[in-house]
Amino acid sequence: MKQHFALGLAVLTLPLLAALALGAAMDTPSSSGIVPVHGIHAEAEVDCESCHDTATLELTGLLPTMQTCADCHDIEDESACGTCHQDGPPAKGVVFDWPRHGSLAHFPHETHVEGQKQACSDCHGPDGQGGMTLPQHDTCRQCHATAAGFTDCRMCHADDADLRPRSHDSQYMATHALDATYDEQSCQSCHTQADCQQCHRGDNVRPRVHPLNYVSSHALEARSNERLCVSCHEDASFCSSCHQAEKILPDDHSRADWISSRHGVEASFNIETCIACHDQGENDPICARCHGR
Amino acid sequence: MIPTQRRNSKEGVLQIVVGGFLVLLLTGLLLPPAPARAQSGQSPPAFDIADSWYLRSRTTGYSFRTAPPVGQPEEDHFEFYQHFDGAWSGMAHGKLDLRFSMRFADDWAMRANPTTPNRLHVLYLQYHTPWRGRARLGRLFLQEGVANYTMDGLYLSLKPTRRVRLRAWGGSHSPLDSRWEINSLGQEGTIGARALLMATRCLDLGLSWAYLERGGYTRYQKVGAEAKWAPVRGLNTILRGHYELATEQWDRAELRAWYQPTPSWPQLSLQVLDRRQSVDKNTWWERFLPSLDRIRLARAALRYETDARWGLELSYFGSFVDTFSQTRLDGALIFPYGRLGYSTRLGDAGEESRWFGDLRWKPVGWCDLQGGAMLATYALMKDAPSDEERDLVTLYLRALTRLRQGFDLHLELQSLENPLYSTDVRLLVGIDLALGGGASRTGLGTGGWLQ
Repeated sequence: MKQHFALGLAVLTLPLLAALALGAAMDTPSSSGIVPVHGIHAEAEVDCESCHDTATLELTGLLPTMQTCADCHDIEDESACGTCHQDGPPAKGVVFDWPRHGSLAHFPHETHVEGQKQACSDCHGPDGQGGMTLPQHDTCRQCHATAAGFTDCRMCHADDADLRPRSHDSQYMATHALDATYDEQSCQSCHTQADCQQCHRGDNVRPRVHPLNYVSSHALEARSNERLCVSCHEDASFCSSCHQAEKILPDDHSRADWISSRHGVEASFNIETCIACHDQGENDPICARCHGR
Repeated sequence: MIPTQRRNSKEGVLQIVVGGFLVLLLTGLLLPPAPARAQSGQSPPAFDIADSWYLRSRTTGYSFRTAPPVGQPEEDHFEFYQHFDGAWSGMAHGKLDLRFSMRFADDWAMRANPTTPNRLHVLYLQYHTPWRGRARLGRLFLQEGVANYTMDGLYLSLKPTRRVRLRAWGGSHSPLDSRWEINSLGQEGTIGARALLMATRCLDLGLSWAYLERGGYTRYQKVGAEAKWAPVRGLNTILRGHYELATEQWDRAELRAWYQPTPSWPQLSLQVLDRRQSVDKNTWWERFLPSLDRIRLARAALRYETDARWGLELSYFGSFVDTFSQTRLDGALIFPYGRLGYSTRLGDAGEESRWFGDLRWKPVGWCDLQGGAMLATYALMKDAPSDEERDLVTLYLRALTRLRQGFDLHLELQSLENPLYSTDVRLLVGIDLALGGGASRTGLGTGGWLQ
């Protein structure tokens, strides 16, 4: 293991250092046209409520208007616009592209601020560069951990809100692996590892992964590799317990040309299926009788 | 537990199954619904976050009768599954969490297979570290870059800056059937690491490496590079390649794209996968490695749905290995309470023609009624003669009821008929109980904040 660890460490160290250096060198552009101002205000010990005066009670009306700024700043001084507006004075009627709260019908700021005495920064950052952020779901999940029918999600989200991401289309069961291995934390916004295992190590009862009577039609899927059987049925004995112990041979094994030629073609097509039954561990499989030892 | 039995009295079991289903369905429908949610203006009671916890129990009974087609006696089965999962969050001043998931079962497949009836899926302690990090110790389902398995060991995730995420892990590969055992580090060891960089607002880059042993020899040692790119509004793509260091070959390349510029547009998704067949090096099968063809898969789906829930869904799947190919095309009409579709499969692995449809209706908020049927004709070979074609008819009716917060009842009647295999009638009864406190205050006994 040691030499493998050293190799892996070497493979990752250089790109890692480059990533850290690059990440530190990059600045943070603001999508709203407003320069990052939270850090400056925090340094000046301006309370959050000074600008977000409804934050302790409500979810709406949180964003300060220019009149709020005018309490401390001279908003008539055009030479000072660049203090906040990085692209110069905003055109009349411009609506900034602030993130929306979507279906957070029940979210109680009051519970968090007044009831729990939480600081704004507990959920809103800082982001490591002096700015504030909107909380991501993993922030919520640090306290709200329930997976039982997403009950915790409904504490904030409206009952009738469709929380299923749009990416979860009809093919998502077959394609979700790449998303999951790319950003597991994104999945954990809604799911726990228990949810994963209910399918990946489940019993095909609740939820049902395979359709009824899959035992009679699974060859179609297995032979076309549509479902990667081995992603769940890792143990070859899962297949051999029926196909070997019960003497249930695949249909094609009874073809007249099976031994003479066909099995080689099929093996090239998908040898993983052959291995599922014919792998004998440390012993040679039946194939060795002709293919040598 | 009722053991598997063989009987000849078909009517008796059928009557019990149907009668039991109707009684339970009526019970679920007649019991009072869960209390309505109060207005959001009400102040919830104060609680201590350090006491946040939940426990969920899922009990499932699954009974079915199978009638083999050629003179064999009918078989009656009763299967039982008990699943628990839970969490205790906020220990040690909010720094420590405990999470677990396990199940106990007795079913027909288990008696036929050498599969352990008691499984420990997940059990780990999670510590919230500085740098917005998490350290997990225990059994966990690992999904990081080239690694995708269950591990007993230590996992560390850090986010030192907003743009950089680092992960590392080490331990032993969990037993394949999730037994309550820990494999030897020397025989089933695994180790790996991953780094992700948010290069720009629309481009993430990542590198990963994982080493896995199986039975004392190297199962694989892979490095992977990946990118997540959103070049235009509504288009998200992920691209990843795996390189196997042990064989010095590219092992896998995968692209996934999803496009929907605005919610009113159709959704389009695409996946292309090119991978090498999975054969353990150092096994007898290694001799075939040079002659094996790569497997190439492609999937595409188009879905459009109006606000009134009318729409259309089309999907394509193709697999290609050398001159072999398999194609499946699906089309479905979506309407307010369900969908109706047709699917066809063509190619070297077999052929299939299938009509399918499902319905879903929520007469009241606490009751969800579902049903569906499928009629298929299939053959397990290309250009099959008619005597190789098989018919399959399946039907299900399902009622999901929330009798009160934390108490769900699941009833399901299934039926299938395949003249060449069997005729089944199945009944599933599930009872889900959930309770919790603190920030996860929900379920039985506690009321909920917002009830």
